[in-house]
Amino acid sequence: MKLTAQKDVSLDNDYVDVRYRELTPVIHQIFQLCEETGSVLLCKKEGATYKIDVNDVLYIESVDRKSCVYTKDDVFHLPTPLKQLEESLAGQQFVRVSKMALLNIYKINSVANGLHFRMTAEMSNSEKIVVGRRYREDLIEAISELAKEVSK
Amino acid sequence: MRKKPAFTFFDMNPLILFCVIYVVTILINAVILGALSNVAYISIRHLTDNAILCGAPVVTLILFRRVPLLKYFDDDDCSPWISVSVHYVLSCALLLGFGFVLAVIRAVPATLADYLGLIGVYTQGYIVVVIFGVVIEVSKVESVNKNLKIIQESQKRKTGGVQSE
Repeated sequence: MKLTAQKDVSLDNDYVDVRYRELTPVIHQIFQLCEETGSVLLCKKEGATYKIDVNDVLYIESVDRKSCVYTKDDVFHLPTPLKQLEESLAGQQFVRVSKMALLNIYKINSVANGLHFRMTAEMSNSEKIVVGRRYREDLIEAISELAKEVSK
Repeated sequence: MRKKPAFTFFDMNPLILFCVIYVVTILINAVILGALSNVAYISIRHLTDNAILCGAPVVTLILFRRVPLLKYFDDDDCSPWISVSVHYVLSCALLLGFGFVLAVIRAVPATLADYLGLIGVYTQGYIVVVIFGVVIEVSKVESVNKNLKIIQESQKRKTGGVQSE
């Protein structure tokens, strides 16, 4: 496969131009990667593929090196590991809260400390997600930065 | 490197932890023991001894992060209360060890009561630091919830009062 990359600082947006003879699995993966870095996730459920808007995602959980995407009423699957998703969703409203989960900050209703002193985040569907000790500062910081940004 | 959050004292930087425990211990020594025995507990000797003894929780914390067998207690999967309890027991053991070494160096015969007194003072300092940490955590949660409300309000304004799902 021939790869051409060109840096052009005058561009308003980054763009990827893919030219292919046949839609091979590798080309499909490239599409998938490009779409996952945007605001849409290509998820699977019962063999069918769905485009899920990241704004509809409550949280993403890692199960056996695969990811489960939770929306208000549904659960979808992604073959992409959580680490890779975290990187591709960097700069968006997702923040890592444990080894297993990424939360959508916009979908957090409140946070609380339990008797065991583990922070839990209550999502908009009333589900409670445990925030790991190592990640709580990141969550607090991300929420505080977003609050500053929206109140400008 | 990931920043260490501050759950009570447990995730603090060892140097900061040392300073906090040192100051708390000195204060407890000066206020409680000083008042009880009418002896000035702020002397060079006491300050030095306390500096050595305050190393116990800090050394334990470093062991938690370095020794593979103890790393579990510094992990997210382990309940913070279990982490703190194991840390307390191990640091008490180290404290007694340091106390024994100090007694040998200073050639002062230390009795069981001395060691129990040492554990007593240490426990008081430990409890003060834990409570302090818990208070900080509670106040943090309140401020996070305030920020979440600001974000939710802005989202509501954007969606015209209807939360998008």
